[in-house]
Amino acid sequence: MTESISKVNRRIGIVINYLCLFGVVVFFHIGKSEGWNIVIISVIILFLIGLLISFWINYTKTGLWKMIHSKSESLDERQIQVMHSALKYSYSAFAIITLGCMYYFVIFEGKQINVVLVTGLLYLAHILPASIIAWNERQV
Amino acid sequence: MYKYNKILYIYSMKSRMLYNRIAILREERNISRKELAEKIGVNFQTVGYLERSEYSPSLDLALKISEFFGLPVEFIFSTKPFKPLSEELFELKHQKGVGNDRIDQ
Repeated sequence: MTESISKVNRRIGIVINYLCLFGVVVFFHIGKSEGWNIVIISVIILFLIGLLISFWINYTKTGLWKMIHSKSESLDERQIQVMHSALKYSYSAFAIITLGCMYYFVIFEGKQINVVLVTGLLYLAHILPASIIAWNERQV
Repeated sequence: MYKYNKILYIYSMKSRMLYNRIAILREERNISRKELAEKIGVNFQTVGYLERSEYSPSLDLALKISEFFGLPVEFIFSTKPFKPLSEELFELKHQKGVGNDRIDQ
């Protein structure tokens, strides 16, 4: 059962989701380089909870996750058109973000990217098309 | 100049709006968006997008819609805004050689 959420609320949800993802990646990096303590672990857990809740509200409850990962045969022509357009923009955005992260780690940090960042990027690759649709479309 | 005109032409082709009478015809026949969507094989939200002219259908979908309503495509879709049906009826009534009994048909 999918639920319709207003465009403003969807946009707020997307911003929260991305902030939580960014928080998890940044605090994991801080913890790894500065040393782990209870504050950093708690902040990471809080961001993870925020990430899961905003993901559930934004993408699972609205049916966007299902739509993005469903076969073309089960979608109508408008949905296919919307999905293709979202995929086109998300490929470009994902390439830029990934290159940015890789160059940042190689040039400024002088080390390889960590596993959480890779996981974050994989998560981003999956939610980017859905978030583009949620951000732009009147109804989802 | 030719290139510029071509770009402008393509741009104008893409942004050309397609007006339709789907909402009026659907309400006239007391059909919900969901029912119409099931009949023409699209998502019910797509019917809303079509009615608001926010999405231009493919030729196949336009033909499916016209077949469902039993009306010609040009009666349902147009690139120019439609006049209200009452106005069109009034104009038809005042055309030469068209009697009241023909309009009633």
